[in-house]
Amino acid sequence: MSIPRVDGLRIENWRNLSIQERLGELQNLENALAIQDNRTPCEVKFIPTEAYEKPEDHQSLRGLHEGKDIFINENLVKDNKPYMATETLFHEDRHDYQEHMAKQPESAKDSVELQDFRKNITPEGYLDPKKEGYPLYRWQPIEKDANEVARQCTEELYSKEFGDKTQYPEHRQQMEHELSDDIFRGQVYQGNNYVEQARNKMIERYNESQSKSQGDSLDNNKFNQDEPQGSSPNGKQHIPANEKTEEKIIGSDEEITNKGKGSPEESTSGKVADFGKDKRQEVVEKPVNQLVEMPSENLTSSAPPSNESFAKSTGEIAGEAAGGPAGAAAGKASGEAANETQEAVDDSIGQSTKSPPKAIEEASEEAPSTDASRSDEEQYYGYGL
Amino acid sequence: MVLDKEQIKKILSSELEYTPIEAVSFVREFPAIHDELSKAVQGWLEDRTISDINAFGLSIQEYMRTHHAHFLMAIRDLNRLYDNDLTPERRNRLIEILRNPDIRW
Repeated sequence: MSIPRVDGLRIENWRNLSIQERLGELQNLENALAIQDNRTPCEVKFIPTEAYEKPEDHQSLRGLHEGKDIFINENLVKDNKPYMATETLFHEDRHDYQEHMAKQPESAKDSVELQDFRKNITPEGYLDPKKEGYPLYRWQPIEKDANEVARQCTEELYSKEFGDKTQYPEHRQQMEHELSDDIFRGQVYQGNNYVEQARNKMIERYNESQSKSQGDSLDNNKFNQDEPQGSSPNGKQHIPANEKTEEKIIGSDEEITNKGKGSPEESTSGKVADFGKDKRQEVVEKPVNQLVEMPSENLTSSAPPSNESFAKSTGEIAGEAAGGPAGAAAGKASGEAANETQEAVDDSIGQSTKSPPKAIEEASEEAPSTDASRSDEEQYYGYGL
Repeated sequence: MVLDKEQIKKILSSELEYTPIEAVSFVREFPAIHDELSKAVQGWLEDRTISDINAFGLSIQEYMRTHHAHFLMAIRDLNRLYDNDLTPERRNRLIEILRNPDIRW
């Protein structure tokens, strides 16, 4: 797969287009990207005014992905340079790809990444910047991935495809500066392993919420034991929570339902005012880890890596930010060391037929592979980079 | 200054829409507050007054606005500026970064 060549996104063409025509070119890019993955394209729109909570948001909120809509900041489209609008489109499209992959796990090439995305796109697993702060938000798996892919795709399109050597380098410099600042901030607030910290926090948050809901289900079951089978206090047929999804295959289309489909008005909250509040989809059936019933401490104490290229590349970047080549070497080493471990839950997909205790036992003993042979480039499989 | 974590947890849940899990996690990682900010925190805990304090030139009210941060998060972030392990160069760089709004997409 390659980066779609949408000529309207060339700076010399872009500057001659109306705002609506520019939006149309971004839609063309979205259509082409979606076709590559057999996805339904999102509709590309401007961010509605109501979504800007504060005046600063007109500058700092670049885009949103809600259901099958991609919203782009109008100021970016008005800009006579197309780079940030295009990079935002790539970013938001990547979120759509992540959700697609979560629903179509057979399209995933990396089980660790798949599981990360599946947890991270849920409201329980998503790290909201307003509650967690920027560094954890920025470095959680789906945001890290979307940033990386968007950067790579924009670079590929403007530097290689269009050969834009006059205006584009300035944009690249800005993005590199932003990345460097984000790494620095991650290190200052989360330590040198800020990527792992964000990932662990996401997994911990997800698992805690699942444990709680499991506990709630058990409580409900206990309560219902005193009732006639098949009934509930309100007279409706009761299906115990642990039986409801027994037949579900993890990763099936039915398992994840996009509750926020369509326009903001149709989103989870049903209010435009809540736009972007729960950006990610909601998993409404059996969650990823429920089948193996992995205690959350098992997932966080071993500081699990995602995959080799992931850890290696971020380790190198972090090392560079921390202290030049020597830091890069140290970062690389720590990234590689991190790959020597693997969390048991990584193997949970496709084990729906195993009884939970056995699955835990086997997953712990088998120590699944780490995709060590994968190249750095392959992590961008979504767009064939 | 060491805060009453139960009180913080309660505030997060009842006033800032944190779930119990989120509140526990936030409190668990909440740092000891440096003296420079403790008075402001005490005042806020009493009646939610946000003093017009600034940390190394960063106004807390401005920070809350540009970073979509509630008071406790702003305090947590700005408190880091006073930590001894930050060299002056790193502190200055952090201040410059924190002056700008967070990019979201």
